[in-house]
Formats: sequence, C-alpha cells, structure tokens
Amino acid sequence: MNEASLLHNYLVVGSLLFGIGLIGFLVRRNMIVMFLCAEMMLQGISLSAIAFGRYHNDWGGQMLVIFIIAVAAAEAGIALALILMVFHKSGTLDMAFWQDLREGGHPAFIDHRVPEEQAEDRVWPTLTPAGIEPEVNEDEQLHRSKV
Amino acid sequence: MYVDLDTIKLLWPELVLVLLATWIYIGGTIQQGRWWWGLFALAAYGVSGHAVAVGIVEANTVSGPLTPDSLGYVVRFTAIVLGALFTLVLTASARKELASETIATLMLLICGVMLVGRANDLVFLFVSLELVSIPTYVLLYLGRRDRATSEATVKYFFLSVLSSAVLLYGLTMLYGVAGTTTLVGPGSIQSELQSLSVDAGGLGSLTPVALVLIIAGLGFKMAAVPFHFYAPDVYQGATNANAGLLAVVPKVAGVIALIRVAVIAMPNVAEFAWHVTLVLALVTMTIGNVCALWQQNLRRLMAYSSIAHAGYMLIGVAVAMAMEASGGISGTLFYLLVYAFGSLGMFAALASLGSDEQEVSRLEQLSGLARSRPFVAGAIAVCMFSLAGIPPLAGFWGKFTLFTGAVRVATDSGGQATSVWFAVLAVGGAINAAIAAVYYLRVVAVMYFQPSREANFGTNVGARVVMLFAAVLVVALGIFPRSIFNATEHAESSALREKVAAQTIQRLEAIATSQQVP
Repeated sequence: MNEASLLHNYLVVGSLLFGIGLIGFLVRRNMIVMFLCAEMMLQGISLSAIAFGRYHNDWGGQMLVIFIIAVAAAEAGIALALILMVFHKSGTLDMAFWQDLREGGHPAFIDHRVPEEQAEDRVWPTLTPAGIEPEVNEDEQLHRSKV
Repeated sequence: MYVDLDTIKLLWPELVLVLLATWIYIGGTIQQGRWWWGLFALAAYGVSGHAVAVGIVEANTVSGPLTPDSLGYVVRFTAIVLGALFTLVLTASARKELASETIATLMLLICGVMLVGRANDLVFLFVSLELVSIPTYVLLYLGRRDRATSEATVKYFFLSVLSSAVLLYGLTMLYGVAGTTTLVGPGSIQSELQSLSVDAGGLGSLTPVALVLIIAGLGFKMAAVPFHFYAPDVYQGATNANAGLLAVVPKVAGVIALIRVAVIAMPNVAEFAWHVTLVLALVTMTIGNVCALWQQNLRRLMAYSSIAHAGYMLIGVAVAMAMEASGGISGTLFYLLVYAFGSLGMFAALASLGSDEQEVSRLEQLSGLARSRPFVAGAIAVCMFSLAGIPPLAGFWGKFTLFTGAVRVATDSGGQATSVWFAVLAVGGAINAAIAAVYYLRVVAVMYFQPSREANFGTNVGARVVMLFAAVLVVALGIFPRSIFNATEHAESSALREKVAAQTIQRLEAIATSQQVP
C-alpha cells in the first residue's frame, strides 16, 4: 500500500468522525452530548492533521494536534463549569429550554413528541441499603456542612 | 520555523499583558475595589503600547511564527486602544466583587487579538483565535446573573465551539495541501499553493474545501452569513458593555485572520474565492439591514447592524481577492477601525445610561433623551450618523473607499463577468446603505423628536468618557481621514510586499532549476 492510499484511508476516517460529530451536534439537545459531539469533530480533525503530517514528513501536523488537545481541554473546563451553573438555574440539560431570547412575535418551540413530565416521573435513582447501619453522631450533625 | 530569544523579545508587549493579567487575577483576591484594578490595567495597556511602539524600529526581524509587517502594528495599536477603552467601560459597570476578574479576562482577550494581528503560522493563528474566544465566554457569563445572560452565554459558547471546529478543519486541510504551517515567506503555504497551480489534481483539490471551511469558521467571529444567527440573541442577553465588546473585538480578530489566511496566503484559489466572498457580502448586508428595520430592542438592532457591517467588510475582502494591490485590504482595515469606534461609542453611551437597577435596552427608553441628557444624545447621534455613512463623518469615508474599490475592480478588470459582478456589488452596497439609514435615523428621531419620559438614568463616568472619546474620534476621522488612510495603505503594501518577495524568490528558484536541467 503506497503513501497516498494510506493517507486516503485516514482522511476518510477523519472526515467520518467530523461528519458524525457535526450531525450529532445539530440533532441532539442534551448539552453534554452536544459538547461531546464537538469534541468528536476535533478528534476527526486531529486524525486528519496527523495523517497529513505523516504524509508530508513534517512535524507541523502533530504540533497542531497537541495544541488542539490543549485548547479542547481548556474549553472542556469552561463547558463543564458553564453547564453546571446553567443546570443549577434551570434543572434541565435540554437545550430547547433556553428560548427566552428570540425574534419578537415568534412562537416558542414546544416539543409535542415528548410526553408531559408527571410528578411521579421525577424520581431520583437510589442505592439499595446494604451492610450495617452506621451510628449517627447527633453532635456531628450540627456542625457538618450540608452537601 | 523555530523559536529563539528574539521571538520572546518580539512578543514582549503581549507577554506584559498576560503577566499583568495573571497579577490582577491573584491580586484581586486580596485587594478589592474596581478603580484600583481599572487604573492598574490602564497602566498595563500603556506599558504594552509603549513596547509595541519601541518594537517598530526593529520591525524587519522575522522570527518564528511572527510576521513583522505593519498590518500587525495597526492591529496591535487598535487592540490596545480598544482594550483601554473597554477597561474604562467595564470597570465602571461590572459588579464590584467581580471587577478585577472582568478586567483581567478582558486583558487576555485583547492579547489574543494582538497575537492574531501578527500570526504567520496556522497553529499560532488557531491558538490566538482561541485566546480571543475562551475569555469571551467567561466575560459574557460574568456580566449579569439572570436567565437571559445564561442563555446568551450558552448559545454563544456552543456555536463558537462548532465554528472553531469548522475553522480548524479548514486550517488542517490547508496544511495538508501545502505540507507546512507557515503562512507567508519562503517555503510557506503561499509559495506551495502557487506552485500547486501548475500541476493541479491530487491533494490540491482540497484547497477550495479548505477555503470554504475557513470563510465559514471565521464568519462566526465576524457575525457574517451563514454563522450570524447567534448575534441578535446573544447581544440581547448580554449587558450593554459586553454586547459592545462582542460587536467589536471578535470582529477585528476575524477580519484580520481572514485577510491573513484567505487573501494573503491563498493566492491561486482567487478566482473561486472572490465569488464566494462577494455573494456572502451581498447576502450578509441585506439580511442585516432588512432585519434591523423592525427591531425595538436596541441591542438587537445593533446586532443586526453589526451583521450588516460584516457584509460591508466582506466587500473589501472580495475586492482584495479579485485584484491584487487594489486597495481592498486597506479599505477593509479602515472600515474596521471606523466601525469599531462608531459601535463602541453607541454601546458605551447605552452603558453610561444604565444603572444597577435598570439597563437601557428598549428603543422607547431613549425618547426625549436630547432634553434630559443632551451630551449622551449628541454622542449617540454622531455614532449613528457615522454608522449610516453620512458625510462628513468617518463612516462615510469607510463606505466610500470600499465602494470605490468595488467600482475600480468593475472598470479595470479584464473579464466581462467580473465587471458585472462587482458592479452589482457596488450597487447592492449603496442600496443597503440607504436601507440602513432608515433605522439609524429612527434612533436619532426618537431621541430628538419624541416627548421626554421620566427615567432614572445612571451616571457611569467611565462609559461616558469612552463615549465622548469615540464620538470625537469619529468626527475627527471624518474631517482628517488622511492619517489613518496612510497607515492602512502602508499596512496593505507591507503585508503584500512579502507576498511579492516570495513570488520573486520562487521565480528565481524556478529559473535556477530550469537552468540546471540541461
């Protein structure tokens, strides 16, 4: 297998990753999944950059990838902080929740395919109790920080 | 490409800003108070500006990924001035406990713009552009603590991540075609692409794809079609000061990056490139101006105006792509400066009217402003007239240079089709200027001809100083545009000179190799 066809394979995989990420970004509404899709696009780009670098026998591609990883890490930090703060405000990760800012007179988007949330749906997952129940120190409960 | 001590020396102005921004982050936890750190930041911009001015003398040292042309110097001085002005606005309007963080984040952002201005390397350019975007997310979120701000930040963040991925894919393909990350100079993307045009096919077919992805990705920073959707929503949700920042600073970075990559470094795709840019310019101008007509929210109106101005700037880019040394880059740069100060003046005026309880956001809140706040109304009117392009203000000269550039290409270029396209572009730009005048003048009419309303406006001293400065500058540039013209023209010729030099070197090499063959 010669150099060019090897490059070709990597480029196809890279563009597939980019395309899947792009489609995922556009169709999903969960904020975390959307961010992961954007990360997947960056992975596709990184793969193409490395393949190009290998093909040209040049370090530039790998250098680009190192910087992409560093920048993606910085963005992930901001993204997690932002998503957490926003989740505290709204209680949902659904992107469609955020539609207060829109063109005047434009109706809000309501997803009719999703069934209305009932009170009994709001159940948090619980762990089955197991083992010996620990002794609760009443004194400690007074000054313990509420988590 | 390598990095040595000279590179560090050349990077000194930016390093000063980064170091002092870190110092403000740390010191802000110990010493509270907004003016303390505001004045500190102003001093930092002063030191950095002095370092840039000193650096001009040794302007010819090419070192590492930095380019020494005077386009970079124009951008860096503009960035420092904008940084100092926005520091004044933000110092007075940010929440007291967050003032130091806001100022320091702004400083990093300005440092990013300065680095974009002199990037001569794809990796360097990408990291500088990210240094512009990442602090912007933080600044947007720090602005206010309500739902609208959160929504604006979320929307801006996700679209920005998407657009930077698109841009990065374009840059990677450009690297793949050329096999090097250097933009201009011997053995760079520019010279590789020029030699590619001889033997087309193979990897070279990726060049148009790279170009489209780069224009789309940078279009987000400029708020140009097709990535303009975020602008109205995000501006509406942000504070007035932050909306002004978004309207000005990322746009400077985006336009300069577009000039550096798509105009200067990618010469042989020009035929296809100017078609795309021209159509984008027409669509962007028209969408921005038409949608702004029925806006009642001031920040939304200014967002559509910012989209429309991105369209005007793309006229200059299209002109520069279609014809070399046609004054397109210089016109775009001049327009960028004029737009930056006009828009900054408007947003600073809005910020100066806001108080902690209430922010000015609807058009009818300005009614009768000419009687209750004559100075603010006057400054807003000057900025509006300049953005509308009414002589003798600076905006008129900006539009004038761009349109004459388009007309020059229409008359001087050889091809019939080219002439028609650029004639359409010039006429479209003129029609759009007329449409734009309607909504700019509506703002002025509301201030001067409607009855005054009882409103408790705030007194934001920093924003008021910035507003007056911007208004005076807009008038002064309108009366004496020559000095800035000279600077931008020099910037264009020095940015293109390296291109010409690279072409000469390549031609000599070609001659040398052809002589060796027999």
